Amino acid sequence: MSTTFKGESDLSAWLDRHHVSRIRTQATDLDGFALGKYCAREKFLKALPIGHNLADVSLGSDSKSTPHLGFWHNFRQGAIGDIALMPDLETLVPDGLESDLGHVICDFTQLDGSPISLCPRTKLKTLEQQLADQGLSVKCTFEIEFFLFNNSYADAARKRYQNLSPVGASPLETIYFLRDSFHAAPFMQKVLDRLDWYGIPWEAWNDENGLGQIELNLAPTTPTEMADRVVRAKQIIFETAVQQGLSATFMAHPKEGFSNGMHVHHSLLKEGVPQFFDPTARNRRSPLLIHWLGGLLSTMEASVSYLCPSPNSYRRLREFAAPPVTATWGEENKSTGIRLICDAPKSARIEHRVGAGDLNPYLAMAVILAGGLVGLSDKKPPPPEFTDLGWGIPDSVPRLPADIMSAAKALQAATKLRALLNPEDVDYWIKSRRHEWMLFHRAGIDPDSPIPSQWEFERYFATV
Amino acid sequence: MAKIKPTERFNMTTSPSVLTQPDATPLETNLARILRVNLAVHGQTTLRGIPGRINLQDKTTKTSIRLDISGEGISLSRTQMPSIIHVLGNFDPFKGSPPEFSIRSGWRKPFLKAKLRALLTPHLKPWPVAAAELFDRSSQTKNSDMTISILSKDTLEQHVWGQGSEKVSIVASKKTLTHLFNGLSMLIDDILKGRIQCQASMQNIALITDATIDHWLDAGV
Repeated sequence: MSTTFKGESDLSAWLDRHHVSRIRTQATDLDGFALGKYCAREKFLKALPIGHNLADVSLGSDSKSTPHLGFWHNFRQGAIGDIALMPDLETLVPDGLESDLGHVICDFTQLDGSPISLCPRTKLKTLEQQLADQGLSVKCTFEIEFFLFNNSYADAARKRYQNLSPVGASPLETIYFLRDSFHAAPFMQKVLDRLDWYGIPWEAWNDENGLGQIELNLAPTTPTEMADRVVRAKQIIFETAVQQGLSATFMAHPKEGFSNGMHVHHSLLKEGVPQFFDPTARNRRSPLLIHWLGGLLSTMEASVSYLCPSPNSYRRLREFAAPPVTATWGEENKSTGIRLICDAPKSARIEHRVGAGDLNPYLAMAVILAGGLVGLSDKKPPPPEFTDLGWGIPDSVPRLPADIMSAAKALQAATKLRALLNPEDVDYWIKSRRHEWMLFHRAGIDPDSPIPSQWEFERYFATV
Repeated sequence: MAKIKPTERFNMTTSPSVLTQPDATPLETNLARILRVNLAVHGQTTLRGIPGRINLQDKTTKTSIRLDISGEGISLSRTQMPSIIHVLGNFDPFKGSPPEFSIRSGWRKPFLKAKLRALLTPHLKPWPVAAAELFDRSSQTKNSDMTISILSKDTLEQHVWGQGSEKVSIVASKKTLTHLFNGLSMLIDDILKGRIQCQASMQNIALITDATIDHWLDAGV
């Protein structure tokens, strides 16, 4: 039974029916952090349709909530002022655990309700609209990976994130191992119950390769709705871990040799009909697919900045460590940047494998759609399909940016991608990455080590 | 041995190039800027007689930087190789002042030692000159509506840049201003550490800081 407000019109009646007296607002900042307030029902209703205020630096702060003092965006006030969180009532759901609590996803807006293009959710909606203007829509899903530990967050911090006890049966780094899954099942059952309550369909979960690592697959939907589901699912995983005295982390690289990725599967549709599979075309690949792939590949180097947002993300991009290191593609090739699946009309899709576990799903999907749009505009084919293993290959095959500043420079140079994503917003993003890079190095961290630093654990373990 | 990829090439006609790797750290970019300025000021003869490889180590972070020197210029990387010259010091690029270092390993050639010291010591312009150059070049300030008044509180020297309606006042010691406008520090750092008093809107502080960070990184001012 769906309990969401979506499809209804009488908000008060819905709040009464679900006994909701408090609403938690949630918006996503540049670093992918969930921000918001707990509002009394009266306050929430009174502030509609624009929503309640919050400080403008909430969208202009780093991952430690330190305001961005060293660069500027025009959405900000001359001193420190307010902006608003505009609720998208289509996303309103009851909590499921706390009987009087509801949740709603919001966009950052100006106080008069006008959009702020820098807002990640607003940006993704803009890109979706650009596709809609061409008669196209997107179906997508994200693979969510995380590590689950028997230690509480407080205990993990006390142990300085070292020697934590992973949830699982085996000290071996197994995958799909049902005995490990069985250990995680009580936790995951609570997570899945809440996903069901929120109206977030899921498809499967399994034991992943790292000790205590789990992968969760959500059912595909449109990009903005999917990104909403991802941020909610991550919040649910975090809250369930807290309630059970465990800890879960989506850090891109929490352990030497093992990482959390967030692969993005997507396909294009026209009037609801999938467009990638063409039985009459060579290798059954439609011209639209070829052009879309061409755009994704030509912009992949620049897109890494959004797909791998933190210094920690780049510890993941190592040869033979599972994540891709080249801007390559291949059908059923999981070692390339893009894996193409094109064996049937309905399942034909692209799996974009570059994304790190700490990416912002709105911005990641936006940069992927922008890359595809570049391809539809340029109508150029991708480079030849890569059929070999994508690691350990000669230096003549260019590697993806291997650090946060190289990725930022590649994005800076990508004129078409920048234009689609709004140059001022891209510049602000690049400055924010430079800021993160400076803080990383200010802490005196060895960037070449495969082992994450204490600074990274303290900054990202419980936050991304 | 990691291959050095020339991502930043500055082929000034009279000075050799200084190259950093694509994944250069702030320590490397900062050092590269100091070297670049010094080579531009002193010319290629600065490198004559200096051995082909120098290892530098930051005392605090233990980060090691290798300088490979040839007739064409200098390459910076983090991969260590044997060298007869070791330079140990405080190369922290965030400390807001020039590197302090000593040249170790018993290198007994005082003249060359002095040349090496000159190569690694920043060439500092008088702060009013450096400030004007920075604000004239930076995309954050050159077309802005700012009037920036700068006062050296120990020498009482004053410099005003711009004629806009947005007033910015910066007050600090001559030494701090010299370091700031020569690319050794960032405005917001100096403000937060109490070295500079700055009265301005948040936007203008951000824009000037951005310009000083670009300068600090030698990134397109």
